[in-house]
Amino acid sequence: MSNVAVLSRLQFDAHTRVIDVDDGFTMDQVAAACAAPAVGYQTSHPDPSKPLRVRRTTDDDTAPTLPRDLTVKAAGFTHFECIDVFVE
Amino acid sequence: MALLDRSAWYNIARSTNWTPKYVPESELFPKDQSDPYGIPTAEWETFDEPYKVSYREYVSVQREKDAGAYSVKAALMRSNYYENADPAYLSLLKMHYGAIALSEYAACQSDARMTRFSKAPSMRNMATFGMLDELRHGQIQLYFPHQLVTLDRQFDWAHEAHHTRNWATLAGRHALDDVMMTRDAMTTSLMLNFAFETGLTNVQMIGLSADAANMGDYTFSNLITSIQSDEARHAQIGTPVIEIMIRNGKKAEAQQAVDVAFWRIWRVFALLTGIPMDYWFPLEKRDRSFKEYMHEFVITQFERQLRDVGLERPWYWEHFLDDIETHHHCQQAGIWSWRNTVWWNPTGGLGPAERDWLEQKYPGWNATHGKYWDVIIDNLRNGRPEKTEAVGMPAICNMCQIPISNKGGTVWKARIYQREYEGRRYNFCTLVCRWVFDTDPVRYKDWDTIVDRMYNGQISPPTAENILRYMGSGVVSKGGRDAHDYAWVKGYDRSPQAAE
Amino acid sequence: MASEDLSKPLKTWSHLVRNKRRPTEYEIVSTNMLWSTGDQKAPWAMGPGTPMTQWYVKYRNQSPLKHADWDGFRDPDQLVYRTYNMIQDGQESFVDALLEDHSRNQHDLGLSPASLELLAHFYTPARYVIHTVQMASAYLVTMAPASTIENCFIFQSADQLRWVSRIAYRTAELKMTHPHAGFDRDERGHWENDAAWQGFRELMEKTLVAWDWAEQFVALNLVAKPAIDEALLRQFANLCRRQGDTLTALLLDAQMTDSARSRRWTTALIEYALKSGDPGNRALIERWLAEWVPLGDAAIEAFCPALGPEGASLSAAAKAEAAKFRAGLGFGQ
Repeated sequence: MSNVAVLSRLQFDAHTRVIDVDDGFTMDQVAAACAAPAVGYQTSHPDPSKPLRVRRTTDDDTAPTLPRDLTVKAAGFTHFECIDVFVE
Repeated sequence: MALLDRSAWYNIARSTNWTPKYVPESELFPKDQSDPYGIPTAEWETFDEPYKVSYREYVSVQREKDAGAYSVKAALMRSNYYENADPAYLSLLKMHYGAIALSEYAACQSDARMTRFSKAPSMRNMATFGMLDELRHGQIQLYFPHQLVTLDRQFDWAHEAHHTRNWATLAGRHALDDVMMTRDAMTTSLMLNFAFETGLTNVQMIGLSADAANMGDYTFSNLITSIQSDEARHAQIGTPVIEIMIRNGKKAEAQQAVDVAFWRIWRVFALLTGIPMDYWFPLEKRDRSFKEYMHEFVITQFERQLRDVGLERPWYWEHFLDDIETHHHCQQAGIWSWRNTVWWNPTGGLGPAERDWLEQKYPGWNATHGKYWDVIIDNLRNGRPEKTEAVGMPAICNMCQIPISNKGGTVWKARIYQREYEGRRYNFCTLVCRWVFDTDPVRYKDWDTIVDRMYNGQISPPTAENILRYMGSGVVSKGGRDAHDYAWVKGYDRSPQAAE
Repeated sequence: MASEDLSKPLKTWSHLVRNKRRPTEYEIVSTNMLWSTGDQKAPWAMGPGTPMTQWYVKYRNQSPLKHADWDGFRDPDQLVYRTYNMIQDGQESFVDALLEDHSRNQHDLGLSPASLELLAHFYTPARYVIHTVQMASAYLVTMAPASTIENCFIFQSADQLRWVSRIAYRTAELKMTHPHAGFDRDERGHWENDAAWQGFRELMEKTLVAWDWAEQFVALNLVAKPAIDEALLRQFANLCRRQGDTLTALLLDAQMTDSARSRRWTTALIEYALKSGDPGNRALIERWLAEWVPLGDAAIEAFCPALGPEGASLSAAAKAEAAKFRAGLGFGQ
């Protein structure tokens, strides 16, 4: 298990954040790690009735949403991968 | 018979160019230090400064100015002003002196580079006065806060800040090293004298001076006004440089230099001036909003100055206008949340009346920045102050060194603009900071932000405690706390609807 | 530091607390102010591929003149901006009075042809050599390894602008009373073409490109400035005095006051480099002097003999005085 530092933008959060994730984390676990320092501190959950999903950040926000059980390793996240964490 | 008028001899004192014989001209004026634009010396010799001064006049006028500034200070020292001042106002002073004192002094070298390496003799003389001015500004802005270190240890940062690796001073030093310490003399003049001093210092000096006077701090208000009176004289050095460059086919180069420097300095100055103006001064003492100041003293004037010298508005002007409505709000929020990393005590300062004012000055504030503060205010009002202390790290821009943030709440604007270069990922807050990187990657590629240092062993292990220590927090002084111990939240108890 | 109570205020800046006494104004505002000296490999935030980064690493940080703590240097005059202007305002008032008095007495009308010749060849063209000292001093402002050293160069550069201005003033005055003597016309020609000036010209052009900060300091403050002081400010001044040109002599005396200040801190800096610096510093300075003193002497030897029949003895006296200054620093040349 090794760490990857991802750069997260959580939906409606004012800050982008540096989040350490394990390469064995699923996207659900990545999303939780990204939400943890933000929700209830400086932002609210975008919609608590829905799960937080993950996709790579692109200029036009059109990257595919990654499967919830996909691991960081399988997704191919590398150091300073930029990801969106959001509700669909 | 009276003494000669300055005009009788002034031109002789600036006829000091000669043709070198014992060393080649290219060695006397190397490109990297002097002029990389290849402009003929005869062209540089047309440099003419609108504001002329002689050494004799200089020492006399400056002596009087200092006598005035120092005597105001001495008089007010007896008044216990600072002992009784609003802690948020003291934070403004801590932030200002820490960022500015050694920065002013650093600019002595920028002007000295022009004195040595400009091919325009007039410019060499004017830069000599500029060098003296910056010495004044560095020394007076150390002398004035020195007494305050006996009041509060955070004032030690007035001298120490730029010797630390605090993220805020890294932001300052990175920008200043870029625009005024590591450029050839001509580019330094474009970036420092024109873009920085002509373009931006007005808002700092005029706005700050007015607000300080409103607070009753005549020592500081007077000091800043006095400093700004020097600024007008040496800031003028950049204008003839641009005119000569344009006349010699170097308009694009001049434009780019100005564009780079204006943005870089803007990103730092917005924090130094915008945050106090819109959040720290008590509501009844606020002269204008930061946006209003920027529009009146920077945008209108700078646009005119650009036109006058023959340049265009920077290509990113729309981004800049948007940034005026965004950047300092985000950083007030972020710096307050990560207040233990800085050397002053910011205030949240956001009671209901303050929010109304912000909504009026920045329509939509409550739906964006306001939502951020709603979470904080809720935590404070429900006995969870520890949740207002940020955990983790924000992403940091590889150019401006400032956390990458943007409007949130009901919109989702925060994003990283990334650039991959030679196998490494660089993160930027805006398209503009990324564009600056693209103008000269070799210049920027080796630098590590605080976040980079967390992952390349420089801060090891990168625990919160180690990061704080690395940045000088808890070393030079304690880190920041809320200046008012959250007293500003009490306003919501009186009007519960306002917090919704 | 670990046991310090950070909630307590300080009596002075933390970096001065160890002195255990009240700091002077000079110490409060002049000491330990450079941020580029913290990391010897990376003076600036810009990367190693940036020319200016390489320049500072090579010509400042890797200078062979070494000291573990350049920030420990103190100007013996403890000059700050505020007091510099007070002093110089007073000095300039004195010079204004000299100029006014002599103008009222129509001094320039009484100058002999011989005096006018001297002024046109050796005084008014001096704005060039003084300006080169202004430029070289400014280079040393950019390159000084400590703020206390940098400040001395700032005042030294400003002093030169003072005298460029005063020489320009005199040039304009002389032109008014003697419009056909070449004033404000021939100065550049003299500086570039007269044999008398070529020694100083070569000395200063070469000094200006001696990029190592310490070498340029030695070349400028231990060789070039003393040579200029002794030849122009002293020997030439005495000659003017003997010929009845009191104004020029008094102006040069006043200029020497600024030079004397420069010599005081130069002496202190050399002493600092020798007493607590690297043991190799002495031999290094000797080596530099062996290269530069001949150029300084050559400048004097070109200039003084051209002043007139006594020129050779003026030359010898000037060289001897310059050597005496260096001997006072502990250097036999």
